[in-house]
Amino acid sequence: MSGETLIELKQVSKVYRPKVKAAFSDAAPGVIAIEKLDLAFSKGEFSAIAGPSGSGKSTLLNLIGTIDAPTDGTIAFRGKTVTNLDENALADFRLHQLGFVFQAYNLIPVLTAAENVEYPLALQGVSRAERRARAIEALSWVGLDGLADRRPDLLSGGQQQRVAVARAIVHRPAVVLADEPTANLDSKTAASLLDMMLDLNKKHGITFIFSSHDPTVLSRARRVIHLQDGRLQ
Amino acid sequence: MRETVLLAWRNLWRNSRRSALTIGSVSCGLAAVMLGQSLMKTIQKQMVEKSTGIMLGHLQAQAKGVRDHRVPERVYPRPAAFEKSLREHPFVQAVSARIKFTGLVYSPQGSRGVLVVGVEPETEAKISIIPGYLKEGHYFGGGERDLVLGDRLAGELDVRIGEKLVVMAQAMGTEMSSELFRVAGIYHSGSESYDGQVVYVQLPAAQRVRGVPGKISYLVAKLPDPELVPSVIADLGSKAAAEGADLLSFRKIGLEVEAIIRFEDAILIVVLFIIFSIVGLGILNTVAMSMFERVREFGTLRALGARPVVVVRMIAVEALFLGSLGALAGLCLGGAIIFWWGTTGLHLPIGKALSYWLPFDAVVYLRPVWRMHVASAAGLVVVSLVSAAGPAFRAARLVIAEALRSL
Ligand SMILES: Nc1ncnc2c1ncn2[C@@H]1O[C@H](COP(=O)(O)OP(=O)(O)OP(=O)(O)O)[C@@H](O)[C@H]1O
Ligand SMILES: [Mg+2]
Repeated sequence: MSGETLIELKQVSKVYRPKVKAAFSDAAPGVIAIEKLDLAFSKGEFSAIAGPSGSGKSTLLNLIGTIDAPTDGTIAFRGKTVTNLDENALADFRLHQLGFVFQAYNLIPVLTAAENVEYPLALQGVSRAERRARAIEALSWVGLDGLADRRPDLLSGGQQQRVAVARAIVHRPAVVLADEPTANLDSKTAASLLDMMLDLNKKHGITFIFSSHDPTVLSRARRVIHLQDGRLQ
Repeated sequence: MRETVLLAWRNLWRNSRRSALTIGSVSCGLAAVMLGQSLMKTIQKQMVEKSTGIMLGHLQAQAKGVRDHRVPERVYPRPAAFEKSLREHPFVQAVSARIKFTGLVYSPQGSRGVLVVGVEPETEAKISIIPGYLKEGHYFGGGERDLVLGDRLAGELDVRIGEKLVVMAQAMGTEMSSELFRVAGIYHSGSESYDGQVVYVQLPAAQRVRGVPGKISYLVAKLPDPELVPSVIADLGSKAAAEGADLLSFRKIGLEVEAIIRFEDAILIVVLFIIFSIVGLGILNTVAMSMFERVREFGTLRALGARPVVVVRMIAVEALFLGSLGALAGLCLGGAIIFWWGTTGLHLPIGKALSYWLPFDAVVYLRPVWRMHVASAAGLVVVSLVSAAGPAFRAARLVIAEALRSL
């Protein structure tokens, strides 16, 4: 199951340039969030990115998730470079290979739990009946049977994040990327969310890469990548 | 696409007050445009009806080479063969002949310069609306020397029904000629110039005064609908030419009416442009605001694998909903207002403004012009789409990671 290299970063750097294009912007070099990083992830991993605030965890996950472009270096997925793809190709890549879980859940408020989970399948063009069935199944994997027709505003934070996890796994992506998925949850809820993620990883072989600066969360990861000032520690 | 429509529809009602306000402003804008169109077209229709009914007719066959089409300076013999074809044309309701010239009328109390119109009462009555304005006496029928005039002129000359008047004019040769007439009818059209400056006599008498027996200024014809004029001209124009006549549309003769119609149409276009701009800005504002509120959502959709076009489509569909719901509501609202003023009538001071040269009803009854209204509604839908283009493409170009950071 594990072993195959999924994601490979080579000499990846990310520099945030100041937005204000003032005359003196040449003087401001920008913030180096990630610096010449070499890193690889394999199939079946359950890995955490750790590091203090500002160390570059979110930036790294954004780059892996192709929702931000590196300033330098290349990222390859199953040996194919993705850093040179256009917007449509990147969208298709994310749609089929990646799942996202966000710190603030980011469910679409006008859609029910099931509709939120169905959304990636709808984008893939899966039929309505199949979509619904797979969404219900994914919701049951995350322990939310019976809440399919609730709108997000009627769900607790923990429940919302479970819906988000269901949405991230419903289309069987190769990797689920989660930036501080537990940061908005109390420790008990956080622990049970993590149990669930670990369960999905074990039972269904879903690869997880998540970030956190919470030691108890990090202790559940099988591999921890420590970042400091945009570099591996 | 179904998901896009569903999402757009639900998003529309997230801020239902704002959407309702936008839809309301679109509908008010459209209703205003419709009202303007209906008002202008109703007025124009009446202007055409009154101007063709009181003098122009829908078609005139004048002698070739006439320079002043309103009061032709040339007379010519009746084009008999052409007249027969004209009468037999399926679109032609009535044909009559007229001679028209300027002259003087005398009464014991005074004299006035007038336009003398020689008419054939029986056919003329089928074309002219003057008989309908008669308030005293008869529209001819008494004898060869009957004369019909307006109440204003009758007052100025101080004549009553049955009293005598002398009509004097320059005969086509050189010398002045005059003839005695008797007042048979007095009308009140409401138009100062018709009530004060025109007298109607019978054709043979007028031809005598003018010294051109058997000749006419023109044949005049009435059609059921002014829109049919071009096809009759197309059918019969060459026949008229064969007999030395020029078959003219009322639009060519009543240049003022044509000019006013053009002017009103131009105003309508300006108003349309202004209202469309206002409505467009309103929609732009709504769409832009709802876009900025949802930057993080667009980021989420894009992160989940939606292509930029999905975002563009979603925003476009939202704008389409706003525009088409507004257009639909506007068609209802505008239709209701037009229907209301079409039943109760709308008092307009415009009659007074026009009354110098045309009679005009004080109350106009608005009629919808659905062809124009629906075109405007469709225009508004297009405007709403165009207004949304900016925000839509901006949303599609967001850097996803940054969009996700926004609150
Ligand atoms: N959009 C941005 N524009 C400019 N600088 C940025 C931007 N995003 C991050 N940075 C900077 O890049 C560095 C790394 O930030 P990043 O958000 O990746 O850190 P993090 O490890 O996720 O921190 P946290 O634990 O607080 O979430 C920081 O110095 C941050 O200030
Ligand atoms: Mg972070």
